[in-house]
Amino acid sequence: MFGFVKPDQGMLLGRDYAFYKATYCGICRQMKAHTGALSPIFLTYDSVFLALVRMVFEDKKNIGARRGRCLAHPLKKRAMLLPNKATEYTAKVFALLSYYKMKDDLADEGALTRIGLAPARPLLAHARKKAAEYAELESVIADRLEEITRLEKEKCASVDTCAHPFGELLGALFCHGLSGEDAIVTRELGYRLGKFIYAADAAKDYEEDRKKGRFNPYVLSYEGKELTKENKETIRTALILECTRMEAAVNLLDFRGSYTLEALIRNIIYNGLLNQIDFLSDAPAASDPFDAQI
Amino acid sequence: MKDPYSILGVNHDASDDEVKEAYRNLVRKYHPDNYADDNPLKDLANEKMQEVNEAYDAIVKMREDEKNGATNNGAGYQSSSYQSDPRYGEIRRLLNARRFAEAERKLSEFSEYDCGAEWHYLKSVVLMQRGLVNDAMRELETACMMDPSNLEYQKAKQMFNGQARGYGSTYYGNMNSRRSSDACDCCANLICLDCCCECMGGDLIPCL
Repeated sequence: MFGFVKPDQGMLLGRDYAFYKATYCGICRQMKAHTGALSPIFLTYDSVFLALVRMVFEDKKNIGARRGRCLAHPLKKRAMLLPNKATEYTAKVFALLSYYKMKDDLADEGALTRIGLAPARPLLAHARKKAAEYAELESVIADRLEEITRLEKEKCASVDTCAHPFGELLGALFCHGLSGEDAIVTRELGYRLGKFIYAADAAKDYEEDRKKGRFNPYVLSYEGKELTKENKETIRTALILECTRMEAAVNLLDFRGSYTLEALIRNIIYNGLLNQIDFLSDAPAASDPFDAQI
Repeated sequence: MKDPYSILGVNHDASDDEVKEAYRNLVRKYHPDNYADDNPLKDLANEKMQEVNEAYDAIVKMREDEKNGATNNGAGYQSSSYQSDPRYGEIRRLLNARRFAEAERKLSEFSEYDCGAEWHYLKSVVLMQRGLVNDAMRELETACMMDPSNLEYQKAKQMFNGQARGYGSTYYGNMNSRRSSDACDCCANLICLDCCCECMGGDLIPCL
């Protein structure tokens, strides 16, 4: 389920995209600092979105960047965000999430992935220890992932029911430590995003799961038939309706004049997420510069 | 005849007010007062005006027919005792009163064999209300499949599809985010393309 939340670079201003990349590098730095030198191998684009949303609540004077080199890109100096609370939180939380995700993967995949993933395990256990201050979140993560596994074992055919725990999981990650209205808004934002990711991911795997007889709520709901054009449109519309609820939450965020944060967050929820579900539509991909409609 | 919607420049799922607004703007544009008698464009403007009027009348008529059709259809459905279930009326009353939990309970009392298209439709209304969008769309799809001629179900489906198409448009304004492109888009795309070409040593637009 990782790798779903990305911006659409073509629709962004250069300065906004530069900020996005700097945030990515900033999180990487924080991971090295807090959860172990090798933990950035679990860094994903999804984490940047969390950091962006949390930065909305950060004091503007704490958000700064510098140019620097890193091991992964030693030749060119890159802009990276200076440490702030949002990136630190993101780094730690994603270390936790990666640990549980891997535990989960090891539990239900076959021996092959077990061998492949096993060497990374001590690394993650270390990262998890470093993020120990979020014990409360940790129990939420473990609990919701368990819930997902239970629903899958029960062969639940309702996409919303299956997606619900993952929504709650992300909702908890987004609102942790915030209070009042901020917490309500970010929880809803995370909840809708989580549901979207779960459902979109299941829709993407439809064909594969159908053939291999693996659990997938869509396959159960459509009784294992091949999806028609209409079926795909229904699924796509439902996923976008989920996005409209996410948009309603974003509309209530107080960006306090930060155009870059707003542009990035909106770009991700409007363009980035829709790009991920382009496989459900016949229209040309939005990111395609040779869009037939010029 | 051309599609009346494209003459007015609105989408098929535009609201009645949007259609009226578009119509008014066009009338203002082509109004005979704007063209003096000796203006060579007068005839052309008149032709346009007529076209706009016809398109607007056609849309209004189409929409009225649709509404009448829906009520007739509904009435016919009610009166023919075949397949109609008095429980649906009760559930609709609950939905109108926004008592969704009760409506859902009533729906759950149906046995599997009783669940007709209308059951799936009403279920989708309840689910949508609860924010369970994926399951709601699935139920709506089932309702449309079981009774493809029912205008109420089709209309609901079109409305949601329209909502999905409009997603993001309030932020991006009239650019309508993705699928449509206008002159500005086209221009930006060309500049972008030119940059790409120049990177590779070529040049698409020599003056840029």
